[in-house]
Amino acid sequence: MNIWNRYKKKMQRNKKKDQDASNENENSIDKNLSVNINKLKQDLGDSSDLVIRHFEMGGEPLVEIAAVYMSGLVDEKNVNEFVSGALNVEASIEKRAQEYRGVNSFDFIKAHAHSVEKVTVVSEWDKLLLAVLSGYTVILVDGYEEAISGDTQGGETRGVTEPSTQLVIRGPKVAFTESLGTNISLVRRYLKSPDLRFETMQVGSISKTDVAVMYMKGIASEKVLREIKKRLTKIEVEDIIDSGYIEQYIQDASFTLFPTIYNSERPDAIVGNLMEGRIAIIVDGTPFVLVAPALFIQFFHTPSDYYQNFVISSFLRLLRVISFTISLLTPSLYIALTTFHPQMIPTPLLISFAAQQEGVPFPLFMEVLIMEFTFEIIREAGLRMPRAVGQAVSIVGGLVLGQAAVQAGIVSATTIIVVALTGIASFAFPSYNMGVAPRILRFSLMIIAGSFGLYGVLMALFILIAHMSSLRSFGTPYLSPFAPFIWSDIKDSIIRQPLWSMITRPRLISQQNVQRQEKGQKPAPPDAVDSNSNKEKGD
Amino acid sequence: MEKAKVSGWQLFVLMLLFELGTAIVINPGLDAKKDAWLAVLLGMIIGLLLFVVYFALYRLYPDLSLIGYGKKILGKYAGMSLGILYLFYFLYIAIRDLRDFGELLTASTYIYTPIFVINTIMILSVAFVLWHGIEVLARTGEFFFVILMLVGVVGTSLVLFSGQIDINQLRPILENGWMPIISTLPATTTFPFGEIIVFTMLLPYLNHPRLCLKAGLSAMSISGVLLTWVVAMDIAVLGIYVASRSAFPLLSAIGLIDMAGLFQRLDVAVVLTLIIGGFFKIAIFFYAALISATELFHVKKYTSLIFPLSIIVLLSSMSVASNSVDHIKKGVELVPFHIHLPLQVGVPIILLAIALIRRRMKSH
Amino acid sequence: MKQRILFIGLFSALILLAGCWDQNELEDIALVMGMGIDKTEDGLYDVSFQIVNPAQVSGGEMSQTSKGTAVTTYRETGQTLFETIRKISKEVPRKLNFSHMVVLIIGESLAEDDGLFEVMDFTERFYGFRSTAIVLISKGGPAQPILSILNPMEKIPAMKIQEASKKTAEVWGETTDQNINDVIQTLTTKSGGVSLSGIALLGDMQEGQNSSINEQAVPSTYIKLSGLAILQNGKLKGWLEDTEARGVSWVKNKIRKTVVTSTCEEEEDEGMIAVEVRNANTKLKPTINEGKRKITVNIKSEGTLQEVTCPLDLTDPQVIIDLNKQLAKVIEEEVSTTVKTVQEQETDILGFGEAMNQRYPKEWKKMKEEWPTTFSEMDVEINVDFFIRGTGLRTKPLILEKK
Repeated sequence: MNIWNRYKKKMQRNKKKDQDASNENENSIDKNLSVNINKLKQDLGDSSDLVIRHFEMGGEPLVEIAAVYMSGLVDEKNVNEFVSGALNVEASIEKRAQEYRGVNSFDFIKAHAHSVEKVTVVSEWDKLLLAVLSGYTVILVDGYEEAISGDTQGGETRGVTEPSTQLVIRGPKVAFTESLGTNISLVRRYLKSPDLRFETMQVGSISKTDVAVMYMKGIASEKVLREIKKRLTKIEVEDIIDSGYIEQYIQDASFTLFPTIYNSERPDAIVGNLMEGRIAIIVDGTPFVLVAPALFIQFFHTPSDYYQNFVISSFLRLLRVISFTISLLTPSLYIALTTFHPQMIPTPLLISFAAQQEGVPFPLFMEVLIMEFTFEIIREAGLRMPRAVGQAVSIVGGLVLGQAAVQAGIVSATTIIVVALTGIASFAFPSYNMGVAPRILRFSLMIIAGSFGLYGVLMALFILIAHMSSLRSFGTPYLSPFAPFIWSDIKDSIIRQPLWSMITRPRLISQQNVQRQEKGQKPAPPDAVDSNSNKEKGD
Repeated sequence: MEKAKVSGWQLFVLMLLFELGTAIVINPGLDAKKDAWLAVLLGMIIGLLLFVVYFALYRLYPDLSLIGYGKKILGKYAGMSLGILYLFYFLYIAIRDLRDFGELLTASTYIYTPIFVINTIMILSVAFVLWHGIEVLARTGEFFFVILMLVGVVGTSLVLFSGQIDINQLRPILENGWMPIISTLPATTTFPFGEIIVFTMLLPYLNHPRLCLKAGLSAMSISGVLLTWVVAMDIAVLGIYVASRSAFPLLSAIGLIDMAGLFQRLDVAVVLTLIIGGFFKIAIFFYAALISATELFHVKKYTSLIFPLSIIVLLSSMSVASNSVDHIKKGVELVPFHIHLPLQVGVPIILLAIALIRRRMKSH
Repeated sequence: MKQRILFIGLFSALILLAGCWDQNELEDIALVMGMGIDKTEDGLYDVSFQIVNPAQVSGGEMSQTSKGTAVTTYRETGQTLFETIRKISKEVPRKLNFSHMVVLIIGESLAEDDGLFEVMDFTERFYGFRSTAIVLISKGGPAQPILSILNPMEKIPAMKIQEASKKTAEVWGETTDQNINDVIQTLTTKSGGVSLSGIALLGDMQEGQNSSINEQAVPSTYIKLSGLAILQNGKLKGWLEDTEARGVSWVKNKIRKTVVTSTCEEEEDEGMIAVEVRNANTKLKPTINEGKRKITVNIKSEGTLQEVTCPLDLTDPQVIIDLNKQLAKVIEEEVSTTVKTVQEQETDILGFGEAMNQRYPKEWKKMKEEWPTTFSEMDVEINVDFFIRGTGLRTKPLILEKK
């Protein structure tokens, strides 16, 4: 294995060297405009969406100018503004002539090109290419080895809509979009603080995807931030299409079913996490923003937990954890109890189980396995189908398979109940990523339960919990605050305490700037408030 | 080896799980008849004193394990042989616990399953967890500690509410005087309290060594009180005649619970308790054996020893006794007096004495 | 990495290779609800098992195929109990499962001749047994027919017996509701007496085995708890009947609720009063005075008037006080009859020995060898206090309005 790795690295290094060498000659802009234009056309394969607009300027000699951009990536209005501004078309000819006198044409354009953002001078060819491909407009001037680029990004993007995952009853109804700029602005709107920082970098040797690391300075842990940046810069791939790519390249452990990086398309969720000291990674082209470090329990939280009464939130969180357990364990416990430990089932219930089992052709274990598998098929089928077909799938799945199988005596009704319960329970917690884990683990647990009963299930749980507690998300133990047990972090875990009592940030996420609010904010009737404040003064 | 990040709380949890481990199901001290609970309580107090001895040794040599300061105190060769003795001791107890565990499971729920299979699954899981290190073991412990406590609270309240307890079964106290209690004391002291000696192997590798006295004393006293309660409860529910004749009294006691036909036959829950406790007990003894072996033979990483040692433990657990009667007989007669007593009480006290005398001579 | 693959490989191989040794499909087990043990004339065990037919008890829609009985009783003989359990596979195509057994009935003659020790060893040792099954002695016949009688109220007769025993212990107090564990516990105590409820078959056995019995409004054949068996050293010595049996519950502090009736002594009219005892507490107080052993039974109880057919003015507190004394006397008589009968049998089923042991452990060691004779000769003092706490919904009885 090591040899292979070394060999691969060597090959990559060689390849890189070759590329660097060949690029050196070509990585400059020619003085001749037509040479540049030809080279551009050649590099982009004479693509039909490449727009080259020619201008002439000045008196004598006439200077040839070209504005270059990709038609689908730019906002045409911006392009026009940029070009006309740069060439200062609006001013009268005399004025232009006046200004132009004594200045070379390049400087003139540079001086006037300020109608759009991010106007820069480009001198390398690959940067020029990248600018054109990113939706910038580049102005080339004949006789100069430099070009001027301006941000005219635009084109077709999706507007800000309601989130399609992590729906909440109460709370902001805004979701991130595919545009990095929009996403950053969405977060900024919540946090009007100079401490909200983001650092952008480009990942992907071909796709050159913009990736922004966002954090609250002074709150987020510097160590984690450094680690995240280190891991991001280490990624050497050709393309990044979704934040899922990034997630897979930077997570701590790959061989696990449990997600160790949180993701959300809700700005409010991201803001909440930023304020707890976590670090967000926004990837251009996807509405799903990554958050690290992530804890196991975090996947059972929804943003609306913080918007409503803490008792309700605590209850709902407990419910979600219970449904996780149900979805993980019910089928295996059912198998283990009925086939290994029938003595634990109350007599009338056992007799009823036995009555239903009578005449069913399969062993119970096979029966449950088949039905669970069928359920997974129905779920997958319903998920990918167009909505109209999806209903047919659920009718066929629910009615035909469930009802008919029981009536035909092929499966027992109890099994259907068990399978339905696990199915429903697996929909009851908010994170899709976390939902995958019990779905797969369930099957292995069932096999173990079928061969060893409760003992097998318990041993499997030992291994599972040991595995989970060996996981880390950027150095933070995955199962905290339970294992290792951190009393002060229990306040926002399986329960949620009232907001006014959550004085400190989660301890393991970041040790910086621990206190997040003042003590003694418990709402109370006016006179009580007075006595409270008096007391505090006394302290 | 680098220091493992184990907090005081985690150490406490590990010690408590370790102490309760198998003892909660295989009740110690039932030879003292109705006063078994008293024997357990006294055993705990002596156990606490023993722990102070271990801790004193540790304070003298804060960077060394039992084997390490054994070498320092006794010299190279004597220390080395003492180390090998302890390595075998830890291994042997791990083997015995594994066998105990297999015996209970095959006697209670898994009558037809070969004990070899049961033990294999156990040792595999132990090996998996230890392969991730003591930190993961500690965290897993925290998780199962909560489960164990829940099972304990629910079980105890069900026993209380189902009206099975007859306090008269415990009377008269001291029916036969103090003699039976004193004669069972070696057994109750060494099992499970004196077994805390394994932690002398772990302490130098922990990053919060100062907390260990507090953690150890509190874990031992709490587990002692819990064990006393369980033993007393078993006798009060079953009566001493049934309790002393049953191999696993708690199993029988919990089996009697019948709340409105809904909560019944909870003895399987007891088996689960044993699995949890047994797991940690075997794991900790096994880990101590691993560390001893790494220290004695200067192995770089203990993980490379896990596989061979688990095979040894597994196979020896099959051959350590020919049948359950033999196994239990050895456990009652041989182990406490000929193995536990000298290694838990004799050797540490001698070591401490020598170390203290040397110190004094040096200071003079 | 290599180790991980090795681990996963080993683990999955183990799982796949493992047969399911202790696994039983529900279709393959026969749930035994009740078990009866008799002895044949050749000295073999004659064991009968009441086995549930699940489909007849509980019904999904597809299970109602035919009208059959909810239980079937099979019997098998053998030299040991375990032998019969396995031998019965010749009749029952499934493996017997005892984990839900609720009653164990021991034949009267078996209890008389052989005693319980041999039988109870198996019930204690065999894991599959449920130690919460109640133990009964069949009265006036073997155990087998009792198990085979069907019942209209409860589909599973064994559960009916269990329920009846529990209910009787709860509201009447005549049965003691002793399970396997209790029996073993008392068998092993040195004072040695065990009391077990009896169960009797009334009516024609053949008719009772037919499922048409369930269509009769007045069942012609039924089973009924009756009497209390006294066992010494595991062997049946005699029976206590009706209120004598309840006297045992009084002494052993097992009365939860019961009904005490009394005639109205002061009036000439023949009237009765019935009181529901709701709270009873008994304490045994042993004393040894100059070698003379004595047990004082202190009973404190209270209850409410439920039926009065005497012309009494219940609004008068004095009347209530008189009634208290009168009822206390009734209870005292009941208990003293029991104690006398039991003492005649020389069998301590009343727990006097344990009380002695707890109070005088040293003396007990001396007297425990000849305890049965000591027990039968010792003085027993019975003190009963009774308090009426309420008179029901009416004060003055209806009989006062009769002209």
